[in-house]
Amino acid sequence: MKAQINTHLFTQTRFDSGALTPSNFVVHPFANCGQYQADVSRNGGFLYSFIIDVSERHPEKQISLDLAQLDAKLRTADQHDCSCGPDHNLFTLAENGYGLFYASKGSGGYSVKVHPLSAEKCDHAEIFDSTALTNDDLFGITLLRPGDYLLRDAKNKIECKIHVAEVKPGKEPYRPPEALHVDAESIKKAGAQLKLLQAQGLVVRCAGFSRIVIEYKSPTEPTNKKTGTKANQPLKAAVASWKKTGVKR
Amino acid sequence: MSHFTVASSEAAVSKLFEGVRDGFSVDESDSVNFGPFTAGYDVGFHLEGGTVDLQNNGDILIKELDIKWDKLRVFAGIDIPELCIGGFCIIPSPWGCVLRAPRICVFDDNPDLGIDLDLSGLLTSEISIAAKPKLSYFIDPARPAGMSWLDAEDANVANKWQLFIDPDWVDIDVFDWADIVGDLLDDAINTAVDDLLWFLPGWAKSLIHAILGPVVDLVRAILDIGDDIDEWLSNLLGVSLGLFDLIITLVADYFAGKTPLLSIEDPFPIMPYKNGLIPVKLPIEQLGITINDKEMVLAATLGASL
Repeated sequence: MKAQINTHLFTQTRFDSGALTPSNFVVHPFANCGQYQADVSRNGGFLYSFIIDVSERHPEKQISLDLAQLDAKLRTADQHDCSCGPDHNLFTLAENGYGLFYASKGSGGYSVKVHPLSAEKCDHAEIFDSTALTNDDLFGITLLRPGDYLLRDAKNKIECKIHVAEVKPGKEPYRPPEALHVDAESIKKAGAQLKLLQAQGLVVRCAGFSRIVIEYKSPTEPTNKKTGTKANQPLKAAVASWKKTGVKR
Repeated sequence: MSHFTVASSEAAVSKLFEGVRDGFSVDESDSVNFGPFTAGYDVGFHLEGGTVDLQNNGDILIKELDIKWDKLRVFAGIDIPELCIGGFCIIPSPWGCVLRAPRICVFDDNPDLGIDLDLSGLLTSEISIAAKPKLSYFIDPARPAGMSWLDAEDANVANKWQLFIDPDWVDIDVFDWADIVGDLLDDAINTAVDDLLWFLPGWAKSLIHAILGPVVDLVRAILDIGDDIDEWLSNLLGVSLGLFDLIITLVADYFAGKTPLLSIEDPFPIMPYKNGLIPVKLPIEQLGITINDKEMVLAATLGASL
């Protein structure tokens, strides 16, 4: 058996919280119980829906929903008489649990909107839209290609450079360091440049962001041998972190 | 009492042996699944050299019979470990990770890594045999029942007395693998990985190599190769894949029953067809053999009729 390589992991240069790909994900905390309908689209076109039932009865503190896999599964179920059962599109989550949305394969482009269907004991309806993130949402990404990136949120006019340093094969297997956690507020204040190693995770708390786009700009700029500086001086390196320590892998 | 006695010196027996030896060749392949990996061989060899030593107890000792590997390929296939990114903790708590990032895997499934080693000419090995002479009477299956000896001779299906070397034991010695075997293995592993990742840009290959760690060490660990690759190869081929047992069996079968050292037509031709007269032939009723440290003696008793 010759396995297929997930080439999109290595060819993608633009990452968008509103168009999920294998390298990134969004998280929404479901603070209130009730039933929610999630509508999944791809590149703007509606694909399928599923239900998330949030209740204190359910043990799951986290559900990770692979939108690419669900795409194949649910669309097949719609087209054919599958043996998926009546609840094949129902997912359960504990109250105050987290819904994580990602796409494990393919070229991605998925977005998801969550609407409440019912609210058993909720005071307010809850809406999640991966193209318009809100304060408690999280956006995560794992950048593989070394070089310089630009993180921006056009709506809020936030920009931040990201530098991903190359990792060389060594005598021991490389294990990426703990993910870097940042929020918009700290980035805006310092105008920081985020520094990552290849395959190190980056988690952005979306306080102040609404749609995060990260674009690959260039390979790592060569150091000027005479001055010891790079052609394009980095912004003041002030990486803000809202949760750096105690991370368990 | 025998009517004819023929004695062959040790040197003459050696010549007979060389004729038999040169007709032997093997071309075999096999593979076995060992769970973490599969391994196999594709071998071809023939025999050269060897000394024949006749013993007073009637044994024939054959020593230093070299295995000449015309082809000695060893291959192994392994699944390299799952190679995934992500999976980091997003929200830790004193009771463990509350929220974890998804793991995204580079490959759809564990990929095969095929390692192909051409070890032709890199293994020195030889065979020793202790055998007893074995006489048997051969009736050609192509000869119809009732066919006369004269017609059988014309049809080249005459009966024969055959003398075989019947091994009591066959021993194979694997003396030495050439020093470069270790380097060849490492090269084969790196080549296999490069083949797997050939279409990726350099930085991606580099990252995969970094995550996998020294891939040679990784593969060696999966294949359970310790410090001594010679020992591993010998164990793999000899014990795990049973190649050496197979060689012993093939050699023993060949000498014991497939190719005789000597073949004597019965009835034994004394005079060929001549001037319209039928050939003169003597039936061999019994044939015996004795061996001492100097010669091999065949003694024949003639029968009363053909």
